Order: sequence, then structure tokens, then C-alpha cells
Amino acid sequence: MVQKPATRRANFVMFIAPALFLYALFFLLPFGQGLRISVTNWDGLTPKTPISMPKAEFEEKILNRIESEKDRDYVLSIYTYDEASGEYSRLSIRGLKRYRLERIIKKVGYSPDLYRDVGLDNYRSIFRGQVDERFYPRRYEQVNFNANSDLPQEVDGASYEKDFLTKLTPEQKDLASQFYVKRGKSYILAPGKDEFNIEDPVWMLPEVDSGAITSAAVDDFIAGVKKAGLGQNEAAFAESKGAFVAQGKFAAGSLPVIDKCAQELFSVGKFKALLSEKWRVTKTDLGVIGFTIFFALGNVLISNFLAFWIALALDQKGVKSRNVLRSIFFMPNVLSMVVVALIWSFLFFHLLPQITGIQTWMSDPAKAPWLLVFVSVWQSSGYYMVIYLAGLQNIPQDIIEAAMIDGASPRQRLRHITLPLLAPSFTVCIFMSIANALKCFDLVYAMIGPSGYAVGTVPFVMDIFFDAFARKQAGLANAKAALLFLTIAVVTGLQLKMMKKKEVQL
Amino acid sequence: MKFRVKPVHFLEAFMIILAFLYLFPILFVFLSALKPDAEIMLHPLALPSKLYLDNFVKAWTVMKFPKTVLTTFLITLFGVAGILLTSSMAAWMLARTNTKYSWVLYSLFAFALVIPFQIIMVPLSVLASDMNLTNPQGLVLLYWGLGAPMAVFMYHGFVKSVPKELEESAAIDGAGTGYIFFKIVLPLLKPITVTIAILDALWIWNDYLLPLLIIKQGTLQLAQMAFNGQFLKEYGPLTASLVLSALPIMVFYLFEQKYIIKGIAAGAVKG
Repeated sequence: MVQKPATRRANFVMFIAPALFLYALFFLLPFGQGLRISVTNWDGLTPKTPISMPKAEFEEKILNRIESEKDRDYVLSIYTYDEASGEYSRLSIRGLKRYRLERIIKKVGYSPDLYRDVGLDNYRSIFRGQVDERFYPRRYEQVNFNANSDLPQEVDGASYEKDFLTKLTPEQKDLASQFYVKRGKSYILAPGKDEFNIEDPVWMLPEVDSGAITSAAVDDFIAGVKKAGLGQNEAAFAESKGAFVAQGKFAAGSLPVIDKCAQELFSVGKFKALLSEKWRVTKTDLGVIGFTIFFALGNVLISNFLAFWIALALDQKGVKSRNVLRSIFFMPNVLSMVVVALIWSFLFFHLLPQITGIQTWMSDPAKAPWLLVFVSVWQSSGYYMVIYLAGLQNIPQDIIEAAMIDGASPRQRLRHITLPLLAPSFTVCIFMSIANALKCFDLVYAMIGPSGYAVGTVPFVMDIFFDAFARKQAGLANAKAALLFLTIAVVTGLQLKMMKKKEVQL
Repeated sequence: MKFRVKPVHFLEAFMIILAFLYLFPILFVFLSALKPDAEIMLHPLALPSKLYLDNFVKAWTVMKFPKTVLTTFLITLFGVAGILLTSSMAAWMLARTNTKYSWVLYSLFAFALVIPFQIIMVPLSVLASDMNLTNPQGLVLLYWGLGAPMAVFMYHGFVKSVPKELEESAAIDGAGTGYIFFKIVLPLLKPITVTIAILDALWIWNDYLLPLLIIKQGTLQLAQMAFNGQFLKEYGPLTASLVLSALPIMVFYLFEQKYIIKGIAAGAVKG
């Protein structure tokens, strides 16, 4: 080489600078800021410098503490004092201007309530479980009927029998059989037990119809009796009925109607209380953490197995349509996650209910996690299949032939030649599937979005997204993201280390 | 010679059926897009009774299709071109210089491969708005920075397998570093360039979260999602919009599949 050292150094800088600068600015800097935010209680909105502040407070906390004259002038050039409101305020500022103002205001020791250093509190609250209850796996009791609502006209037969009727004493069963009658797969509310039907005769009474009794009084009566019924409180029941009748404007013929209505509403209350107390199911929710692990494991195992198996089949001698099939299996991979998600949503919401008769797919907590794994496998396994197929085709034919001459069975050839020689492909595919599954956002977001919490299908990355932008907890979100970063680094690091050791060199 | 049924034929038949099942959702969406809503509801699996293009007309106008595609295309084109240029230069220089700086810088790039986007997402969107980058041009710049680690990593691996002798003899003949890189090295890097270009083009074209945070609307994926919320119950226009947004990349794939599949396989071995 004939270059002078100075030229060499200049070239080194010139060639590396563009990529390094952009990478540092848009990746490393935000990464550092992200870690910094993770030790604050920032909500993601509050600016570090106040937008407006009362005069006295502004002078005491900020202006009077600024030491340099230049800085004070700078602050005053941004904030203007408004006589009418008695406040200092500023317009929105960006870029270097903002950074300079933030530096000055930080130096005087001011920080807004929602942008304070909280040390490791975010991390601590994650480890101690002081986060949203839907974060960790949990068991919870699902209440199928809320005592404050009306009795539904129709209930799901399977759950009603299994989770409610079986828990009742014979006496309670008697009561239940007066209310719900089996019809086909569901139970139907007996017409006489419908609350509107029960109340109707009272509303039709001539005294109410003519306005002698106000509708407010009828509402009070009905509400009182219902409430008494829920608690089976005889005294309260007698009181609200008594108060209604005691208005003294009823004809003798109206009293039995009132009495009947009150009695029936009282028994409805009893049944409602029973229903809400007994018709409960204990359920398990995977939570964010549980689903993330489930999704990652499902993806790694199923997509790699499927991809390897398809590659093996396509690699067989005599498969004529190999290239066409390979192209087809790879095809879902070029589609965006959003398109894939919407294609499958369309199938789950429209086609499958129609041809199978099963109505709920993505909205069923028992199916949703599996369906998401299924769609993700459908989308990604073609990618891994291409890698396995390339690996298989790189295995030298003479080794296999030598094994065949030695009399190795196909199973032995697979076990002792193909698998070991394919180890590098396995390493790469498993590495990529772990990282992709843990980072998968678009697909789940487009398929289910925020309602994922209801069916237990919120991956870690989506929970972080909601923390940051919907729940206004940017500090917590970044602490979670930092933990995710550590997890991915450790898991993939261990996996690479373990699997690289097993790879054989030809 | 007589044709004999061998086990491999059963296998092939089975794989063809499996491939059809793989394709089925895409075909189904395509078929539905050609039917009026009523027909989609009544006969979901039947072929369209006659050619019906209203769905496409509606989706085309609502998504502002030509403009959206052009924007997405330009973002992808300039994004990929920038990544390729800056990363190949940096990676070549890092691979060919044997100092502790080059090792440190290389490790710095490789470090980013395990960082999930979520940890930089909040500060990056603040930074972008501070720097006035919340527009398609700004998005392109962000992609240059975000795409650098992977590209540098892959180029670096490839450069090490390219013999040095050509460059050395050119240097002895008095060629400058710029000349050596652009006229001698870059053509040699073509295989890995194709791979990286394909991977990055698929990534940028299909990306959803970064455009959502930075420009909010205007790319194909964003238009697709917005459309979905608007027309949830109108299956016809919804499926037509899916076909429209999948079409450009599908056509690209059908014509370039040989390179794409080769590129993916090659990239995996290098990566």
C-alpha cells in the first residue's frame, strides 16, 4: 500500500461516517434515551419544561435560580408573561431550542411531576407484580351473570348446566326450573318471568294511566322491591310495597295486581342473587407473559418442524414440481403482516362461522392464542423451509451414496447424516424464529388489537406499545422494553452458543 | 418404459394438496373481491357469477391507491438504496482495516441486532418530530439508520470471503480508495447486495409500526389498516383493498422469485 497514514485515516472516517452517524443518531441515541426514560415516571406527554406556570411560582422555581444572565434572557425570550391570566407561558418549541431550554431548566433543579427520576421503581414494580393484573398469568373468577342486569332471554345451555345447575340444592333447582326452560342447546326464560311482563300490569293500572300516581312513584316502588328481592330482605320489601300502597289512591281491584307484581319481582330477585352467586367459573388467564412464552414456543416448535418436514419432502428425488411448490409455500412470507392478519380475520369472522357453524373464533379465549400461532406459522414457515431446503441441497451427494452402499436405512441416513449436517440451518432458523416471535407486533395488532386483553392474546411488545401510547406510562413501557431486550439477548445468546457447539464441520 | 406409481408420487400429490391449502386463504380473498356483498354472504365458496369490479373501484378511491403506492415505492427505493450504499462502504472499510477501532465499531453495529424496536420507539418518535422528520423523506433517513446494523453485519461477513489481491494490485497501480471501492469492490459484492436489497425492500415495503409512529398516514400498510376500520362490515371493498395492497409485492415476487429465494437462503447462511 502506498497511502500515507493521514490519507488512510481520512478514508476510514469518510467511508464509515455516514452509516455510523445515522446508526448512532437513530438507533444508539434513542436506545440510551429509552434506558434513561425507563428510570423516570414519564407519561410520554408531559414536556420537561412547563408550558405555562403562575408568575410567582415561575419566578421562585425557575427565574430567580438561573445564575447566568444569558440563560435568563434566553428563558425570557421563550416565555411571555400574560397579565390577564397572571401566567408565564410559551409556544411549542422543537429541536435544539428545546434542548437548550431543557438544559437550563434542569440546571435549576426543576422537573415536572410526571417527569421525575424514580430510580429502579419501574423495574421493581414489574418484578413485584405491581403492574396491570393482566400482565402475569393468573386465575380469576368469571361471573357469568351480573345481579344488577336483567335476566337474559336466552342463556348458553352447556355452561348453564355445567357451571350452575350442578351446584344447586334440589330446592334451588326447583326455583331455577321455574325460570329457565331447556330448548334445544340453550335455555329460554319463561315468559311469565320476564321483568317487563311482570311490571306491565302495574303500569296499566287505571290510577297510573290517569296520572293520579306519578310514574316516578311506580319506578321507586319497582326499584325498591327489586332491591329488597336481591337481598331477600322482607322488611325492606314490606316497606317499599307499603309506601306505594299507602298513597291511598288505589281502587280495591288494583291491590291484588300490585301484590302479585311485588311477590313475583321479589322471587326474581332471589333467583338473580342465586344466579350471580353460583354461576361463576374459575378461569386461567395466560397474561402477557404467559402468552408471549406460549406464542414463542409454539412458533419455534411448529414452524420449524413444519418447515423442515416440507423441505425434506421437496428434497426427495423425483419430486417434479419442487420449484413451484417451494414458491407457493414461500408466498405468504412476502405479504405484509397487516395483509396476512386481515386475510385471516376475514376468514375467521366470515367464512369459518358459515361453513362450520361455530360462531366464535378470534373472540374465544380458548381458541384465540392457538389461532394466532397458526396464522404466524402459516406466514413464516415458508421462510425457514427455503433455508432448510438450501441446506439439504448443499449436503454432498457422495456422502449419502456412500452411506447407502454401506446399507444405511433411510431413517439412519436421516438421523446420522442429514440432521448433523443440517445443524447450521437449524441454528439459524431457530435463532430467527425466537427473535421474530418475541418481536412480533404487526400481526397480532392488526388481528386483534386492544381487545386482545379480553382473550389473553397480548404479546409483550404490544403491551409495551399500549403502556407507552394508550395508558400513558412511557417510563414503565421502557422498563419493560429494556427487560425484553435482556431476555432476547440472553435467550438467543444461549441458543447460539449451545447449538454452535453441536455443529459439525465437513 | 411404463409409468409406475412410486411412493414419491403419493408424496408429491400430498404436497400439492398441502400447497393448495396454503394458497387457499389468498385465493379465497381474491375470489371474494370479485363478488358483490350479497354473493359473498350467500355463497362464500362459489366462483363469482359474473365479473364485478365495483369493489376495486371503491377500494382504489378510498385508499388513494396510485398516490399511496407511489409514496410507498419511493420510500422503499430510496430507503434501500441508502442502506446499501452507506452500509457497504462502512462494512468494507471495517473488514479491511485491522485496528482495534474497526473491531469496536463492528461490535457496536452487531450489538443492535438484539435490540427490540420497542425500546427505541418512544424516544425515536420524539427525536423525529424535533428534527422535522415526520414526513416521507424523514422516514427514509430513519430507515438508513435502522437498517444499517443488519446490512453492515451481512456485508462484513461477505467482504471477508472476497480475496484482497485485486484491491491491492489496483492500489499499487495508483488507484484511489474511492475508485477501488466503486469500480472494483462493489461489483464483487453483487450477490450479497441482491440479498440485502431484497430483505430490506420486503421489510420497508411491509413495515407498519415505524410509519405509523412517524408519518401516521400515506403508506400502503397504513392505508390498508385505516380502510379496515372503516369498512369492517363491507366485505367486498375490504377484500378488494387486500388484493390491491398485496398485488404489487406479489407481482414483484412472481417475477423475481428465483433471486428472492436464493437471496434468502444465502443471507441465512451468512447471517
